[in-house]
Amino acid sequence: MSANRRSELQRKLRATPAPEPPSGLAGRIKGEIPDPLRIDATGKPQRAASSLRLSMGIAASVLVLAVSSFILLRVLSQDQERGTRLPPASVRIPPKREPLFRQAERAQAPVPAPGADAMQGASNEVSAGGSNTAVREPEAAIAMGSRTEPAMKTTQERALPAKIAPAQKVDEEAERETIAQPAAEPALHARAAVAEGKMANAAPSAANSSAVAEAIVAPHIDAEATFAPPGNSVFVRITPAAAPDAQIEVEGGRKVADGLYAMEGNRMTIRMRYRSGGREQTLERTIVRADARTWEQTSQQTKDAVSKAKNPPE
Amino acid sequence: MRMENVSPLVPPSGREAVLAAWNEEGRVLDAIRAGDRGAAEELVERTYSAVHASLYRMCGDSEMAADLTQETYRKAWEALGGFDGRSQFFTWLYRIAYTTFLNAIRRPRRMTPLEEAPEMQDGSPAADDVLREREEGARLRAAVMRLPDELRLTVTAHFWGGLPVKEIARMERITGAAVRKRLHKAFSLLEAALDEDQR
Repeated sequence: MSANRRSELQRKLRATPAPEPPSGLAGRIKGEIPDPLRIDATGKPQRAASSLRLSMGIAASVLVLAVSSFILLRVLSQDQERGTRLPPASVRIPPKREPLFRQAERAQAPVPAPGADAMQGASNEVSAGGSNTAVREPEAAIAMGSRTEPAMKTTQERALPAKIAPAQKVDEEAERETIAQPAAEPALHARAAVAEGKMANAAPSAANSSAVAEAIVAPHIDAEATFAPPGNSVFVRITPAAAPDAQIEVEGGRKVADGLYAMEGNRMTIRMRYRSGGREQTLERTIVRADARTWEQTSQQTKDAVSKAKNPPE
Repeated sequence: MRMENVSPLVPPSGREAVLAAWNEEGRVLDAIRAGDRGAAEELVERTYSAVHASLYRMCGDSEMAADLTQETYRKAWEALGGFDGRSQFFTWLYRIAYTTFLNAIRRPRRMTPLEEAPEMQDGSPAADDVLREREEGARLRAAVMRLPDELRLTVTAHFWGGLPVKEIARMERITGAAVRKRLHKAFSLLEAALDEDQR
């Protein structure tokens, strides 16, 4: 636009004529002045307060929406997480079928002697476990010894993103609770007692015979790992259960006493060789450092073994 | 053609000079807030003519401008408690008048067409010149009214309402440079619109 054209346009705009107001307009306007003058001096603050209330309402709504979305997403992600992982409670080892020759041996076994102390103790302990013992025994085997699957799971968990760690923690706590179940202990004690020959001449009571038989007849590795103070040394007490003539080989650990091994790295592999039905069998178990219990959670038997190994009697 | 008996046309500079020189605005407003009716009448006396002139330039109809002026003051009395003094009182009043005008033209009510512009009284220039000026004026007003809203407000406030750039900047909460930029853009659009009309 040229300067001349622009100044011409400005001149025309400024020179736009306007007539004088009609006569009487001032009177009409003055006649509408409210009487008395009600100047609402608080109008502005009221508007400001109203605006503030509106803003606060919107902010609160947004906040509620955000929190709701967060909680919903968290719940959904947890559900999804549980859907992709096997919860600890669902880990079941199918009960092993008793070999026919064992069933025959059991059928010929003598009636339990009421005075047998070892049997009495074992029987009481099994009874203390209640009727769930038969169901829970495999879990107990996992909790105390057969920790292959949890060990694998723990390894997988390490590979998972850190954001799902809280859910894992909850699961781990639930698992520890399972470990701490008193019901698991009697079966293990009974099994250990049998393995040590204490119940050689004894038989379980009729009520629990099936459950105890299940526990007794399946050879397996009882292993308990513990963090032994001071320091973070991990000791593993290994008991070959239901296989008295078993030989134990350990990879990733060194033997410190009979049945007690010190983990040298983060993983220890245990192999148990035993004979069954005239053939040599091998069981292999892997224990990782994360499976180790705290000293407080460790069983007294393992504590004693570790203490004895660290402070040998003179 | 409709005949109107109106006062002789006067250039806007006289009234706006009065407004610019008026520096007792604060005292009068304090008196009004205190309930002084005389102060309110004084305020009307000082401002109504300029408000009417601004509205007339926008709508081109003296009667409609008078009605809109009356409506503007009616709204002003209701809203006077919210006047924060950020700008001059007349700037605030002009904004009310402009909004009132926009509301009026959005209502189904006709604006004065070109042939109904007020008749000039005796002593006016030759008929051809008068007609040509009227046509030019009407085209210019139509072009201004076709501007985008913020440009239209700026142009009308500056040239027809007599508001300085600084006051428009306060009213619109923008900088003076932004007001000048708006004016520059408005001139470009107006020129294009007027050229289009002449073809």
